[in-house]
Parts: sequence; structure tokens; C-alpha cells
Amino acid sequence: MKKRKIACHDCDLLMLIPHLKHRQEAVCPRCGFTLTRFYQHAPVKLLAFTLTSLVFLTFSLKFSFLIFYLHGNSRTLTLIESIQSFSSVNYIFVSMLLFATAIVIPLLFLLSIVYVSWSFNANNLLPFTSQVLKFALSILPWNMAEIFLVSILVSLIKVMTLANVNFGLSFFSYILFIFSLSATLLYCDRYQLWSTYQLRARKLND
Amino acid sequence: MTNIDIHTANEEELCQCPVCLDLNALDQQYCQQCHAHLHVINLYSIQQTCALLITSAILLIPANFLPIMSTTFLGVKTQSTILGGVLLLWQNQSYLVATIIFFASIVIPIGKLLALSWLCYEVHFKGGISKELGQKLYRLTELIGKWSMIDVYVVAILVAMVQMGVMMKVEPGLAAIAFSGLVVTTMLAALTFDSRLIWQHCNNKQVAQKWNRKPYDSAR
Repeated sequence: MKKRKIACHDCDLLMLIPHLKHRQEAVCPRCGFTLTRFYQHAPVKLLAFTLTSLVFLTFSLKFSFLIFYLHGNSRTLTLIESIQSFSSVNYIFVSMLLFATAIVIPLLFLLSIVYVSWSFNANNLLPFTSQVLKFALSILPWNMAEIFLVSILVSLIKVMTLANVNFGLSFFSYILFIFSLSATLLYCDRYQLWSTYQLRARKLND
Repeated sequence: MTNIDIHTANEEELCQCPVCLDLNALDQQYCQQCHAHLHVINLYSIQQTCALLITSAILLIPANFLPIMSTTFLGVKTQSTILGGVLLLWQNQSYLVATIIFFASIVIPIGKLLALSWLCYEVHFKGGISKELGQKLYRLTELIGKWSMIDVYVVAILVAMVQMGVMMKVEPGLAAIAFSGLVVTTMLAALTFDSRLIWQHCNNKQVAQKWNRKPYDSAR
């Protein structure tokens, strides 16, 4: 990869990013911000983990998520039902926010990464590549899938004294989804992705 | 080792795109590569952060004093606030969960509010802020901010699970709305705060001396 001059995102210091080896990271000398991390074959790994996460996410939507037993009654929930529960109109915004941050935003992020990877590997850049990449990186701070997982465990401990709760197939699939999503985020590097984009776009112009 | 030139992008009349990290001329409005809106370092940009901080400070009151959920067990309805829920968990001896909820829904939002207000104050009035400390504080608030959403998720899951008709029922309270609004506004405040402002009046000579000393020492 060519040396590229960039400014630190956090403190605006200008510097050149040197050639990085596998697993090396470039850190801003003034404020310690991690500018970029380089992994060998990162684009392939990124695409692989993205597709894995998508598969696990689809699996976790289909089957039963949590099964709740109380005094002989049982209640089975799917993943979407367990978030979209504030049925009354008063809480529609909260339930929309929860639904968006736990499922829709990770899903959109993964789909945009698939599109961008496809575009980088095609002969020509596909239309709207820069917009899709921009969109994917801008919704990233709002991804709260892992927080949802932790809060499931917290709420289980809360009702443990009252009732029995069993996990369905979807729950395990969702855990695997969280793991592969974190792996995807590890390989999703803002600087590397945009450098690839710049390289591809310049090649087309020449 | 010669002196290292230290220049910020602003001094070189460049402005970095926050989205694609491309360097643009200072007079550009939009990035040449990705057409994102460019933000020149401007002290008045903290007004946006301040407005969001005030909003979240106001939302903090209903979020903590209104009930976040009400449990109906055999016809008896009990309402609990966030702090009440934490105390109940502590009494039931689930100390770990009580601590998690206490940190996630009380310590983190208030701490984040105080940290960002302090950063805004320091950046605006003094400029004598310890740069490393400020930067660390800002990074911490950005990182842990979204974890305060745990409590709202817990209420949502409980409402979905515990729907046993007359016997037992859990309903959300108004604090759930206020609290999720609080989390969203504090996250937006952290995102709008321009951390480059912390480094505005940095003594570049000192930094350069620090860098130059290190290789020199190791050479001896």
C-alpha cells in the first residue's frame, strides 16, 4: 500500500502512515489515537466474517429465542417478539429505537459491507460505493447488538427467582452472531477501506 | 536526529474529512472524495454539544424519578424506579447484576454528562487543560456511552417475557422513554464534540522535544 498523508482524527496532527506489517498498528504520537491496524488479507477476512454474521443473524430470526415457564404456563418468544414488546402506542419510539439498534443497524451495516467488498472486487466500481461505505461507517456507533446480549443475561437473573427460562436455538445463533460481528468490526478499518476505494477510483480515472 | 516538524492540518490550511480521512483545502465546504460535510476547527461548535448536554440534563430528572416499570403480581401493582430496582436486586443478593445496572444506568450517564461539560468548559474558558487527560476522558465517554442502554433493553425483555394474563404482568413506565432519550442525546453530544479543540493551544515545541529525546537516549 502506498504511503498516504493523513491528519489524526482526534488531534489534527499531520503525518505519513508508513508501511505496516501484519498485525501492526499505527498510533498517533501526540494523542495516542489508533489510526489504523493492518492485517494481511483483511478484505477477504472482512467479507468472510460479514457473510458468517449474516447467516447467523438470519438463523436467529427464525426459531424460538427464549422459552419462559411460570406455574405450568409457558411462553415462547422469537427474537423480534422479545424486542418489539412495548405494544401500546406510548412506547412506539422506544421499541423502534431498540429494534433498530439491536437488529436493523447491524443488518444494514453487514449488507453495506458486502456491497462494498463486491464493488472492490468487480471490474468497475459499482454505483454509489462511496455513499454506501459512508453510510456503513456512520451507523456503526449505533450498533448495540452486544448490549442486547448482556441485557438478556441481566434480565434472566432478574426473573430467575420467579420462573424458569430456557434458551431456544435462536439464542445460541445470536451469540455466534455477536462473536462474528466483533470479528467483522476488527477487520473493518476506516483508513484501509477508504485507501482501497481511493486506489480503485484512481485506477479507473487513469 | 533533526527536529521533527510538527504541523496540524489546520496550520497547513488543510481540513480532514471526518468520514473518509481525505485532506481537503480549508475553504472547501464538502469533501472532494465522499461529499461529506467538512468541519473546520471552530470554538463555537461546542454550542451544539452544550445544547445536547442541557437536554440530557433535563431528561435525567424524569428518567430517575418516574417509574421505569410496574409489576402486577396477583392483582397487586408495584412500581419501581431505576434506583429502586438496583436496591431490590441488592437485597435479593444478586450483587453482580445490581452493580452492573447501577453503573450502567446511574454512574455512566451522570459521569458522561459531567465529563463532557467539564471538557466544554475547559476548552472554552481556560485552554490550560491537560491534553492527555482530556483526550482519555473523551475517548472513555465515547466508548462506554452506549452501555447505559442496558436498562431499557432489560425492561423490554421483561415486558415481552412476563405476560401471564392476570397472574403476573410487567409493564413499561414513562422513565423508559426519558431514559432512552437521555442515552441518545448523550451519545449525540459525545459525537458532536470536536476533540481537536482539546489540542488547540498545544505547546508543539514541548512535544517535539519529547519525541527527539527518546531516540537520542536509546542511541547513547
